[in-house]
Amino acid sequence: MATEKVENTDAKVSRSSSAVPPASDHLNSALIPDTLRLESTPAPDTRRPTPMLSRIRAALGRGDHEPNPLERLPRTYSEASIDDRISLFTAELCKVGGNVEPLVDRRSATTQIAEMLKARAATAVAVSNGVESLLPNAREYFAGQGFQVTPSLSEFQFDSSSGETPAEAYKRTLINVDAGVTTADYAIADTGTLVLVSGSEQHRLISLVPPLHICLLKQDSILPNLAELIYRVNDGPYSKTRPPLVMTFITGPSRTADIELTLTIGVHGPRELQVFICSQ
Amino acid sequence: MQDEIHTETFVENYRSALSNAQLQKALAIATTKFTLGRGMAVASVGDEWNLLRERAREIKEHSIANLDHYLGKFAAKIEELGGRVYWARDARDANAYITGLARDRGISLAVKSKSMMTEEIELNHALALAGVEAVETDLGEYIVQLAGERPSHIIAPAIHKTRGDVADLFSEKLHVERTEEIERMTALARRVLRQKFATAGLGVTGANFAVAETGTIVLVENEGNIRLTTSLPRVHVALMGIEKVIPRLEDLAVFLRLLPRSASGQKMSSYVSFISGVKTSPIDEGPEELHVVILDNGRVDILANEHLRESLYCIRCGACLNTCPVYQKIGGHAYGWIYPGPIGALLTPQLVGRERAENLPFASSLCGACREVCPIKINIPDMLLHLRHEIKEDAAARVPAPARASNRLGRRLEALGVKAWRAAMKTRRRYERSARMARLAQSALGNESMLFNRWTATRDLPPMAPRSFREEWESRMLGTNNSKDKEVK
Repeated sequence: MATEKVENTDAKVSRSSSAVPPASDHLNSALIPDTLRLESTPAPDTRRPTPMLSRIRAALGRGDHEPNPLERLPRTYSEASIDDRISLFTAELCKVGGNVEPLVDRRSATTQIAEMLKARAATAVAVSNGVESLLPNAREYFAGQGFQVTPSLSEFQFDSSSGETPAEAYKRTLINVDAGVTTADYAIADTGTLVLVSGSEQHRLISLVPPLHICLLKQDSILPNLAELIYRVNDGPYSKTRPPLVMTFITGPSRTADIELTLTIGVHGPRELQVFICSQ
Repeated sequence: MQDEIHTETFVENYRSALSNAQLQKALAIATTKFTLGRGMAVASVGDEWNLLRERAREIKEHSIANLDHYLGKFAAKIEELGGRVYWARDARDANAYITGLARDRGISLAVKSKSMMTEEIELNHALALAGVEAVETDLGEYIVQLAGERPSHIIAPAIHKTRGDVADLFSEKLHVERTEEIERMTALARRVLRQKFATAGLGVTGANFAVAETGTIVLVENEGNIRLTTSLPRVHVALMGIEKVIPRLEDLAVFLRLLPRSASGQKMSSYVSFISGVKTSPIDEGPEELHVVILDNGRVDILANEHLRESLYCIRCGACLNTCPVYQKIGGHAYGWIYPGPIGALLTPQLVGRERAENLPFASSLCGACREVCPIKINIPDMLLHLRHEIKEDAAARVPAPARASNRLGRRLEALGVKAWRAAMKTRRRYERSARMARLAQSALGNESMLFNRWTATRDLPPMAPRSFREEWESRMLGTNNSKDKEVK
C-alpha cells in the first residue's frame, strides 16, 4: 500500500514501530499506567511540533502563525412556541419509529412506565440516576411492583474472588435487562432527536443495551433545531475545562438497511423507543 | 496486503461487473433508492441547502489550510482529557501500534465498527496475524467479513448481495437453519454479535469528525454498534486521517445537517456520539483507555499538491457514488480498492500510487453530477482532469528512449490534429468547408474505416447528416433553394 512512500524525515517514528512493536520506545511509554507515567515521562510538550505536524506545515507552505479565526456561525432564532415544538418533536420522532406520550404528569409517568413493562412481560429494569431526580423513589416504586431493578453503577462492589470490577459486573447485569429508563437533557424538535449528556446521569448503557428504552423529557428542554442545541451546549457543558465524557443523540430506535436496503429495526440497540414528555 | 489492491485490472473488473446480471439489478435498485432518498431530504431543507454547503466548504478550506494548527490543538486536548495520541506515518506504523497495544493488554478479541480508515490499512488482517480476532459489527460489514469479501459501497457495504446470498452465507457460516427473512437474519446477527461485545477487550472505530477546540470525537451511525463498541470494551482505539479535524464544536451544526441527508437521506442518523476523553473514576461508564491514532498514509502528499488538496475535504457520505453514471453500472468492486465511485477515482490513484491506478481518473464522463451532489462542493471533475494530465505526463516520462521517438510522433500527430481543428473552427466559412470535406471523406472511406478503428471499437461514429442544420434551416424556413440543396434532393 502506501508503505513504498516511506522516505522518512521522521524515521524514528515509523521504523521503530514497524515489525516488533512492544520493544519500541514510544509504544512502551504508552503502555505504562498513568500513575507511573507521570514520573517517568515528561508531559507532552505541545509547543514543539511532532514530525508529522512539521511535515504538514511544510506541505502547506505555511508559517507557524495562528490562523485568523473563523467567523462565528449566526445563531438561528426560532419563534416556535413550546406547544409547536412538542408537536413537531412528536411528529418527527414518530416518523422514524419512536413513540411519544406528550404531556404526562410526573406522578402518572411512573405508573404508565410500570404498565408498559407489564404489558411487555418485562421482569428486569434498569433506571438511571437522572430518573431518580425527576421521579423521586422511582427505583423503589418499580421494585415494589415486582420488577428486578438493577442498582446504579456506584453500588456495585469489586469482587475479590473473581477479580471482576464494578464496571464489568454492571455490564454483565445490564445485558440481561429487559428495559432501560433514562432522562434526556435536551431534545431537538425538527429532527425528533433526544440528547443525553453524561455526568451524574449514566445513560450510556441503559439507553442502549436493553431492547426497550424509555426516556423522560422535560417539555421546556425541547429546542427548535440542531443549531440551537449546539449553541446551548457549546456555551454550557462544553465551555467547561472538562467537557462531558459523552453526549449521545438518539433519533428513533436502532435501525439498519444493510440487506437489500430494507429497513429493519433493532439491530444492535433498542427495538423500541418510548418517550414521555413531562409537563411540569 | 498488496493483493488487496486490484486497481491494475480495472478493465477486466468492470467488464465482469457489466456482465453480472444480478449485480446490475442490485445496483439499479440501490442507487435509485439512495438518490431518491437524498433528493427528498435535501428538498426538506429548501434554499438553505446551498448555504449550508458553502459554509461547510469554507470550514473545510480553513481547517485544511491550517491543518497543523488544528491537529496540534486537537492532540493536546485529547491528552489533556486522558487519551493518548499516536501519530502514524503509514499503514504498517498504525497496525504495529494497535497490535502491540492488544498484545500488551492481553486482548484476544476486538469488536470493530465500520471505518474506511481501518479498511485502508487492513487492520483486521494485521490483528489476525497478531492472534487477535477482529469482528466487524456493522451488519453490512459483518456480512462482507463472513463472506471473505470487501465492502462495495462506503455506507452500504453489502449492497451487492441479495437476501438469498445472505441467507446462504449465514446458514453455512453460522450453522443455523436457512431463512430469507431479513428480520430473522438481523436478529441472528444481533445475538451472535452481542456475545462478541460482551467479551471483547478492544473496541476499534473510525471518526467522522474530530473537534480541535474540545478534543471531541464524533461518530455517526444507525445501528448502535458504534455506541456498543465505544462503551463496552476496556480499551477504545479511534483511527482518523489527518483531514478529519474541524476547528469548533459549533461547526457540527453545519456538518451534522449535511452528512445524514447526503448519505442515507435521513434528517438525522439514529445515533450520534460526541466522545471527549476517558473516564476519570472507576464508577464512571465507558472505556478506561482511549487511543487516537492519527494517520498520514499518503495524505501529506495530497496536501502538498495544490491542484488536488481539495480531495481532503471529503466527509465520506457516498452521495457521489449513487449519482455517478459510471458507478451505477460498474459498482464498487470494479474500482479495485476500498474507495469506489468518483471519490475513489480521485483518491485511489493518490493513495496507492498513480501508476497502479492510472485507469481510474479516466473512468468518468466528467458530467459533473458528483460535484452537484457533494455536500462540500468538491470539484471532483476538475481534479480528475488534472490527475489525467499528471498521469499522461508521468507515462510520457517513464517511456524508455527508443520507444520515446515513436511516442513523440504520436504526440506530434495529436498536436497537429488539434491545430487543424482550431484552424477549422476559426471562421464560419472555414467550418462549413471542413464539414463538407469531412462528409465527403466519410462517404469515401466508410464508417468502420481503419483510420478510426480505435475510436469505433468502443463508440459509435454516427454518419454525418447529408446536409448541415444551417442548410436545412435555410431551405425549409427561408425557402432559399440554392443549387447544392437541389443536388441532395
